[in-house]
Amino acid sequence: MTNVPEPLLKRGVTAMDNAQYPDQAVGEPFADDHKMSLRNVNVFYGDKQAIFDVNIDIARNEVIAMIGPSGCGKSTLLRSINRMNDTVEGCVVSGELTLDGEDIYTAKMDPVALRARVGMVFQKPNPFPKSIYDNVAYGPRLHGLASRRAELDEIVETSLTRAGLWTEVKDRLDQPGTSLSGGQQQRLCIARAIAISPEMILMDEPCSALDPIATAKIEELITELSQNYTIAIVTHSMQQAARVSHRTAYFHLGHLIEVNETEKVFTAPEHELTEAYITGRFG
Amino acid sequence: MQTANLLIVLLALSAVAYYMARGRSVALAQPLGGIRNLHSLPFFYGMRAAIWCALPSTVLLVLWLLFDEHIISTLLINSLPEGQQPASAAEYNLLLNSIENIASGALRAETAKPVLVAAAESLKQLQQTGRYLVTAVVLSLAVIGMGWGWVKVSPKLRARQQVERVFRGILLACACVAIFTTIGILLSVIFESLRFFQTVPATEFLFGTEWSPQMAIRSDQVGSSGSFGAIPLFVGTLLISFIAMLVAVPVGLMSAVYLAEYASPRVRGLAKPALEVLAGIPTVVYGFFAALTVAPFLRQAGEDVGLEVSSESALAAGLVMGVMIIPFISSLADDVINAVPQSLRDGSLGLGATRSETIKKVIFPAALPGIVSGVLLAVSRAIGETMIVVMAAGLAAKLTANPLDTVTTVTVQIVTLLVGDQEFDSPKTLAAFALGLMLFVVTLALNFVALRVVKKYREQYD
Repeated sequence: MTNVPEPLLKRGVTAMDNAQYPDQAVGEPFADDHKMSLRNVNVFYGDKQAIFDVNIDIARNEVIAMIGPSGCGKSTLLRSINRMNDTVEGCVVSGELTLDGEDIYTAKMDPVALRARVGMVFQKPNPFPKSIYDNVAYGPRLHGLASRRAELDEIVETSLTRAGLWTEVKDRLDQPGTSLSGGQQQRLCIARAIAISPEMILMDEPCSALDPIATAKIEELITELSQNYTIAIVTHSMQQAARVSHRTAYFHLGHLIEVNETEKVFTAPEHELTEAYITGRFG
Repeated sequence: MQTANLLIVLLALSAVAYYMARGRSVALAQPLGGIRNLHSLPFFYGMRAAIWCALPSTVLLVLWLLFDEHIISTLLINSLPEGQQPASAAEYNLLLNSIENIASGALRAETAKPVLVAAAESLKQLQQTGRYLVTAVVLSLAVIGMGWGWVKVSPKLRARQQVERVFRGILLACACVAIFTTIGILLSVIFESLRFFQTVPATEFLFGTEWSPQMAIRSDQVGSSGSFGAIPLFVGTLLISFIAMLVAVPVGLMSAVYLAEYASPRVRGLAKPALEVLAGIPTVVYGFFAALTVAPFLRQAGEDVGLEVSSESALAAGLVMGVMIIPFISSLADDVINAVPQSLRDGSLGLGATRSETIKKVIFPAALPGIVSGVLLAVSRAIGETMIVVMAAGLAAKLTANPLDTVTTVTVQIVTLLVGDQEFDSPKTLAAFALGLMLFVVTLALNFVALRVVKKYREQYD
């Protein structure tokens, strides 16, 4: 705080204090050809409400970045999209979330099947304490995607190639996944996620534990993957959002404030809270 | 002064030393501008003085307590006239004993030799002087130390380093107590076993299949030589331990999985303490439960289906021992499973795995080394367990693999060998040491393996 010039700090605070949360996110939250659609979504942890009335579409094959200050609920929202929040005690999600027009919170939808369709990459690389091969083969084996060893080998090779890891690990597939470097581990986790051919991939700050070079590789990978997958990425790095995403959604204390083309968000934000955040007045 | 009183006085003196030196350091710091100008905090100056006061004097006191008897008796015997000097060690002890008895009044002075009565008098004298002397020396040493600690207080004194060095020494000494005790026990067991192996060949002990540890007192008695084949005992031990693990491992592991992965906090809050209560039941209670409830029940059940079950059976002992070990395994496994990072669970669930698939394919393999070492520790506990087996498995050393039969274990035989009146140089008693040694070797090997597994597990996670 000491480095922030006084007047700027004051302006930031007043912008926050006076800002009205818009009833509806400003910008273009909706898309015609949407993969995922969220309507009036509220998320509660016990008595505490973490997400307020969010409406947003995620278009097919787009990369959407979710940014906002810590505790603004972007990770919570992300984990609601593949029902990972089911495992959290006392977490309740209300509203309508549809994947290809199918409500994912009905009794008919099996969360296990949903998670096979909506893959997830976590903040900290979390390879299983198994070999590199077994890490990637884990999902395909669970879902019976390969009936013969050769098919499985092929899936593993394709996934690792897509994750840009194949040339680095092809000679040591039997070594533990935990023996890789942090960046390689994260790419292994991405390979693991795409091995079950999900329709959508959620990434929860996938680079926050990595060094800049490993980050650059992952970002490159995200851009490549966006040709085949719909990707939602939560990030704290605005540069990263600017580099990889097509659209950017700004969250503030559980409210969705603004959704727009990434370039527009970073050059001409519509809402004053977005502007205050991207110009670094708080966050 | 009595030793206990002396110790209390020393404690009081060192408390005084602490407060004086501490006060002096604060007083010295005042003109310099507060205690931050001292090298160490006042506490360390106080502690340094207290250590100087208490440590050397206590060491001296302990040395005196260790050697006073020896010094006094040497002085005493040397003071005896020429003709009364003992010729051998046995005579020396005898002489000393009678002098001590006269001195304490157990032997009447009128009936004893006048030389010895005089010696008894001088013994009393010597003990008296010794006590005075040691009190004086110890107390003056304490006072000197206290003064030294007080005088040396100065802002430059590196009191913290000195105090910490002493404390490190004390910690080391405490660690040594456990180590040296183990070594001492081990050595005594080894030497007694060696004596046993002089009478009974080691090969007969290790490979003999008959156990009947009876030794005749005279060589012309019937059945004068016993047989000391330990195989039936070890087979019995293994049989019972195997049955116990058959019960404890699946039940323990599954309850751990339930508690760690499925149970709601409420259920967990109730079940965990309940399991711990199970672990707190004394083994003797399990023992009579096995002998009075389980064994007759098994016998009855066996009769109903036409099996012959002996009223003391390996099965009864093994079942109850298994129940006893359940909490041991389940709480260890519960800890290990809880230690598996949540991120691995999330990773697996995020790939569309169900909860049970996650447990089977990710959590269990990740926790396996820890679980294995927990099970091995439980095995060594089962092998060493005595009370249940004494009550429920019987004493007959039968070489059998039939769990319905009566068997006996190593620990039970050690108990029976040493209960009652025994001469301590007969092979029968010494056999207990040999059995103990074998048991020690087996459990040591198991613990060693368990530790190795744990080490491997750690390497995998760092």
